Amino acid sequence: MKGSIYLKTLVDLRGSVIMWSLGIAFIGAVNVLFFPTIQQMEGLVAFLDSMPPVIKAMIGDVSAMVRLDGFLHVKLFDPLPLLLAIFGISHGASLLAGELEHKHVDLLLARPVHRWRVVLAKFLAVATGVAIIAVALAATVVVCARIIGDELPWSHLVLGTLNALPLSWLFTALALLGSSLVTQPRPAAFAAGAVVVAGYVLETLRMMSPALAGWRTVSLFAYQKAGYPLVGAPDIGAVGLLLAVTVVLVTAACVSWERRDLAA
Amino acid sequence: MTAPAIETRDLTRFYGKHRGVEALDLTVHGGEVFGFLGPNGAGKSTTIRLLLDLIRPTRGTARVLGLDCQGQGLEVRRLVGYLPGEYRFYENLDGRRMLEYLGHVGGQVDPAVVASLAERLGADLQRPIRTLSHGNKQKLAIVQAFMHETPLLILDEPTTGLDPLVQQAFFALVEEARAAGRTVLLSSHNLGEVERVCDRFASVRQGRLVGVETMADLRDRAVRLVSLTAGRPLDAGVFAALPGIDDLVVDGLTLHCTVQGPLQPLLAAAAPYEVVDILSREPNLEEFFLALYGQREVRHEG
Ligand SMILES: Nc1ncnc2c1ncn2[C@@H]1O[C@H](COP(=O)(O)OP(=O)(O)OP(=O)(O)O)[C@@H](O)[C@H]1O
Ligand SMILES: [Mg+2]
Repeated sequence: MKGSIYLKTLVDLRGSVIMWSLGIAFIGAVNVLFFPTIQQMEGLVAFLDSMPPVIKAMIGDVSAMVRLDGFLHVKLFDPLPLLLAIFGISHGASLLAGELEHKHVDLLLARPVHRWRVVLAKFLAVATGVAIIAVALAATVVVCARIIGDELPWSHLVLGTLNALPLSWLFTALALLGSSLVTQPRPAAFAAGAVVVAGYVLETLRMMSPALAGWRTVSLFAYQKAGYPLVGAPDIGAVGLLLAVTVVLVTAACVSWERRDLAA
Repeated sequence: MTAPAIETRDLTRFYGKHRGVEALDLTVHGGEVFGFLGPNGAGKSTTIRLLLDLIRPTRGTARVLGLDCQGQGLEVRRLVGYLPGEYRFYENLDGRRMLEYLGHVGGQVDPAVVASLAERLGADLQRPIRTLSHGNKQKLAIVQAFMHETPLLILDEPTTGLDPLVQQAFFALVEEARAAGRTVLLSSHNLGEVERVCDRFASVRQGRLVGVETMADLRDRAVRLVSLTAGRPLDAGVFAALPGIDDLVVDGLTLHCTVQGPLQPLLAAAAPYEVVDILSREPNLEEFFLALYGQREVRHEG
């Protein structure tokens, strides 16, 4: 840990990463292990089809629900960035503003280190934390799929899970940028959280109404889904776009923190 | 000629409309121990944080060892050991791990130096920092400022919370730094402390520089407090006309005043009144400070 802001931040996050990994792995395990029961339920598709459009929009492709991949897409893969964003934002928001709030700033930034390096190291640490949680989930899903004897290729399960990462990183970077602009973590977390919720609502509305199909280009969650869709080929461009926006946000956070006057 | 250790020109920082420090022209020479003296809110920490590029000036410039604090902040910070006036450690670490971490952020430290500093100050490196008392944390803060063995030390109220014995150990470190040719800027509320270690000091109040004094000057210009009792009623007019006499109070047979310079004129003037008793003492530095430029400034305060 000698002098590595990245490792120090990651070590500080370890408790949280472990709890989150266990929690999300548990959700994943329950979903996969109970899938056979749900699959055998009589009239599941018909039942889901009878749901109001809002619910159906949230569920997505109803008929796919009887296959494990379809079921996991709807129940796990698509909403996963929503969960990971909570982790990413809560920690991302406190990375810089938290240093200020806790008065660590003088001890750290009076040392011969570029401020942007501090920002980058801290972002990478939280991004690593998010990735560790996602990997823990992917491993759990693969193991549980074997337990229920499903034939789905493991690569599908792993990629489906990890596809949540670019969007989760983007939300983390957004909170980081907010964090570089304010003196307390809370406003940064709220602002980033608001974007996540707005993005999710937008995507749900878009799914409900064909009239809103044009909104696809501004829906972050649509890009995420396109990255590893249930049907059709993965859209590498969509993944690239999310990653590019993340890089832009992190860069902006670096610049903003470099310029920042640290009067608390 | 080599560049001054610290040089500020018209250095000004406002917090919104609130003055932090204004039009500060300060020069600290290489190798001196320089006191930075002022009451709460005078602008000491503001100035210091400007030097380290933690905050940015409203106008004016600051240079450290010839380098511009804003434009070459990284190079400046490489040359400075800094003890913040307000700080928090990473409380979950113990002293050793914390110092190791801070020491290697953008630099190197010799563990032997850390060990020796910690031993001299009696700093506890084993216990988690959150369990340490205020003074024991301050010891760690001193260690982290000195451990890089930089040519310039900037210490913002270094002795807060230290017991007299540890203060002594701290002053010994400052003396050694001076002996090694390093420069020290030390902020303080306490004149006695400044008198003890500094070659020169600047005093600031309400964000403005009030004056810069050398300790030698200070002693030359020493004011004495004199109380005199005579056998015959004293004539105030005679004494008021004397050079260097101030704050004169004459009440029948007694006289109180401050005298700057030699006492001889006062003694000569008093002799005809049959002097019964005379008491003369050096004011402590606080009284001196107040006599020198305190009153006017104090009245403006609040
Ligand atoms: N972050 C801030 N926002 C607004 N005003 C500030 C801020 N920091 C300092 N000030 C103001 O600037 C002035 C100078 O403060 P500074 O902290 O530099 O004083 P100081 O000499 O270090 O005082 P002390 O001896 O109490 O540490 C004060 O009036 C203070 O209220
Ligand atoms: Mg201060």
